Amino acid sequence: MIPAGAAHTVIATPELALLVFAHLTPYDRVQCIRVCKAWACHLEPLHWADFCPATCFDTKGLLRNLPFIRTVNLNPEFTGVSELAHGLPRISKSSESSETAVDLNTLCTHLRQFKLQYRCFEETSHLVILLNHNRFLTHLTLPDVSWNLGIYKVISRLRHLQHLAVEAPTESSGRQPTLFLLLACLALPDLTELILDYTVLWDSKDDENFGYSKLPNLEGGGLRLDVETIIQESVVARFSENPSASKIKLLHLPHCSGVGMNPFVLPLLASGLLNLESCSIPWVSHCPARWDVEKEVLEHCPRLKHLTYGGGMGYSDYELVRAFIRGSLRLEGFTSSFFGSENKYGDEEVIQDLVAHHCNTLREVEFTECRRLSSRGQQAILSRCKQLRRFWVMSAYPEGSSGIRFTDISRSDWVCLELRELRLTLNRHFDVNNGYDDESDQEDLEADDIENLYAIIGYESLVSDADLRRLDQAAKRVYTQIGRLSKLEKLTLDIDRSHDTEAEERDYQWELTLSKGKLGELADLKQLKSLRLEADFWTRMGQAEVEFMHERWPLLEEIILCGK
Amino acid sequence: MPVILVSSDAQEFKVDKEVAERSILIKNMLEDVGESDSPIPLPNVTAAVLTKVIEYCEHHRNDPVQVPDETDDPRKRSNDIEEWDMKFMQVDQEMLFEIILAANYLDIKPLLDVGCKTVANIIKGKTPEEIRKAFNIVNDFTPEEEAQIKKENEWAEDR
Repeated sequence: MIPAGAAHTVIATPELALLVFAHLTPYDRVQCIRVCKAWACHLEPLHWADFCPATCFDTKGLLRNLPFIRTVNLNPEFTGVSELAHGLPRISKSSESSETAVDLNTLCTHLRQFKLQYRCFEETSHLVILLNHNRFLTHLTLPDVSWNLGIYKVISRLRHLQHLAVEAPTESSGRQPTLFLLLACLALPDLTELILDYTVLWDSKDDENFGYSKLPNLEGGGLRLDVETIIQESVVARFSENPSASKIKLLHLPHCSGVGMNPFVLPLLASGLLNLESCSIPWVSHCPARWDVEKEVLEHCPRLKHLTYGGGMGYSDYELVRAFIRGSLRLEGFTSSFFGSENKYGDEEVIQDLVAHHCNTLREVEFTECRRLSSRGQQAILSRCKQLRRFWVMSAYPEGSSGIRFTDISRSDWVCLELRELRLTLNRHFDVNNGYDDESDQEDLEADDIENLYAIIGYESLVSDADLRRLDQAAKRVYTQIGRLSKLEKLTLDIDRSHDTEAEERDYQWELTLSKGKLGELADLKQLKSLRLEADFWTRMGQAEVEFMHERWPLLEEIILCGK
Repeated sequence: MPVILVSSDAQEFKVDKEVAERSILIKNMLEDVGESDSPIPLPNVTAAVLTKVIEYCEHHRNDPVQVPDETDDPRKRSNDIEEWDMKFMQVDQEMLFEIILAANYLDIKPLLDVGCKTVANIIKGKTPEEIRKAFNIVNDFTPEEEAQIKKENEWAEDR
């Protein structure tokens, strides 16, 4: 029986059904498919278009819906992936018995996107066949860069590829696979997004360890396998047929260990292959060519809007990221993780450059996994970047020192009144070593002297009424600043645990109460939808605080309480 | 200057031009026809549905043009229905789907979005039997068939 009028028409119109589906989880989608035969007939193809299996399932549905699959995303959670990759039971029409094994790679021939999140194909040939069957692929994600030559050859024939990613942040590989991959993909005319997220062990001896000694050595065969030659050849191939072929807009360069400066940065910048909008900069241990980098970025990347700097697990030279910041014309987004640098104030200098060059355009700033992050730098961003919509700070470890000090917040008014999302790590502690000698400090000498005194006498010794009053005033100022951000929708507060003392933990417990704390300062956050407290801010809260939140924050949807 | 719209059942509606122009279809028609008093026929929309659509356009006559943000996850936004829109959408299920079809035909993107979100919200968390009940649909699966189709399609994890 056909379902009632208008409802049936909506479900039978793929673009309308898709609009409804867009708001449903996979679970709800399956419930819809079970409603009746007509709904199943119209909705199954939409459900299968984006195929990302998480559990084993009956393969009849897969075989029936193969023509509709456009995106395959095979992730490690899916236990049936090897069955998918190596053999499905063939369903014969006469009997339902399973006969010869059928591979996914001989069946999926209409794919546009293929995302393989771990290496489930034992034989590379399976993947080679699959890619050969799907010449119209636009998006390809691989879990590893080390394959045999066949993969690179077939990639070089995927003429419609726009997005190529190798997502293996914890993996490393020799030099040759990366060079082969670049040789295969840089000439592809539509490739605009290239993500190489892994580490290259630049010492070529590593290639033998990774089984690459058997690859044809192109160095003797007319084409030298080095970065410059590959890039030059690719530029010629890419633009010879079509001089206005697209350029690469999104680039994530791999980290290269065993070499000071990343060997891809300058040749790629100078190649004419890039018209970057977003770039992820590798960490380097030494950046001698910072002026060259700055000049090339200025010349070739006028549209660069987003920078990401992934700190490595060792000291790195921040001059490379500073060169990118200074060379960019108008950055809107900056994401970084600071591990540490030879230069103790390296992170503060990066932020100073960022604020000096881009304070009028920055909208999103995120510091993730930071082991150390300048408090004054954070205050500079908040008090100078008017367009800021998101400011997000996460520590690397529980003891990561990425707090913003109360005394720094008290220095100047925040101007980021458009802020929608804020995550702060608060720090009441006064750190005598965290100071930084600049002119503004000279003006503030008196205040700093008192701070240093506090640091010397130690937090626990802060017992006099005057000291407590002073700290209380600073705290009030902190919450007043947050309370002025009337467009805030998401607020997360954490505390800096690098100077962890029980006394401090206790003080934070009262911080967001109405009686002794400063919750009242946050009364005007009318747009607040989500409040997350990562520390024990909430243990002293009671009925009065709940009523306050209910009354003052009408849009509040969630409160997440973490901590002990 | 008012515009006259004619529903499929020949009822005439006089509405302000800026209200009518919330519909991209009508806006384009008016631009193409130029200055003219002739009524615009809308053969795919009944008077009952057109009344509702006009009510929506009247309320949203001053809304800025929507800029679609593709980075947003649509599933997150299905809770974001304005209070007025939510009340507006409290109609019987036949009318709800009629409004979606009319919004699609008249090319009124925000109304189409609200309509589809409302349908999705009705579906969310319901069993197939509850969905059938909500939309007056008769189950034509045998229990075995339904179990089979469930088995074949349940491969995705809720994200």
